[in-house]
Amino acid sequence: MHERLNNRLRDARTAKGLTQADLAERAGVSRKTINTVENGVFVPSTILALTLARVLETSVEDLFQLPE
Amino acid sequence: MREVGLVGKAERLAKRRARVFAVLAVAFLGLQTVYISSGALHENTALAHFKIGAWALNALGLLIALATGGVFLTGRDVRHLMNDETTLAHRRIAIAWGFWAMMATGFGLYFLSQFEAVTTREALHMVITFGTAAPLLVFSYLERRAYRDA
Repeated sequence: MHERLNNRLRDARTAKGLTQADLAERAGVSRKTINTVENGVFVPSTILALTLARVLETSVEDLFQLPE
Repeated sequence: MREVGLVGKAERLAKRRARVFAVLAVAFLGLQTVYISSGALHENTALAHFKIGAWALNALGLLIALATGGVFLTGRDVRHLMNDETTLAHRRIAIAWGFWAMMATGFGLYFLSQFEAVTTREALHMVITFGTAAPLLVFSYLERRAYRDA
């Protein structure tokens, strides 16, 4: 079982011109959560992953990938 | 902008909470030297009972703060942001560390009791003390770490 998750959340966020605080506000979480997900420290729940994908208008698969 | 302000307020309070938890845990551990040096754990006086009662209330208050997030006087939206899924994960990890701290204390006391008599009150005092302080320190560390590299 994978314990880490590759993600391109930071790229997707900056491409939208959003700060961590902007994204946190739109997703209804703290900036700490956005920060730890971007840094790969925290693996988000399915609900949060879906929420982030919706806010960034992309797919979950585009945001998060299992390591090769 | 109002909502971004909400995120900022939650962040400010969460950082403060992490600092306060660490200070309270260290103070709580430091206060134990008072109990040990004053002999309150062995005495049966009204003052000793008062001291032990104060210690128990202190421990209970800290555990309630850890379990609830320790924020009661803010709005529901801010509380929600301060107790989002990262915070809940940190709390779970911290409580697990509390369990191991209690086990380590228990094993240590068991070992010590072969050389020196340990009363039930002393043993419970030590187990509860470390079982309270350890998760607060771990939670504080995890919360502060989560804001790094922002």
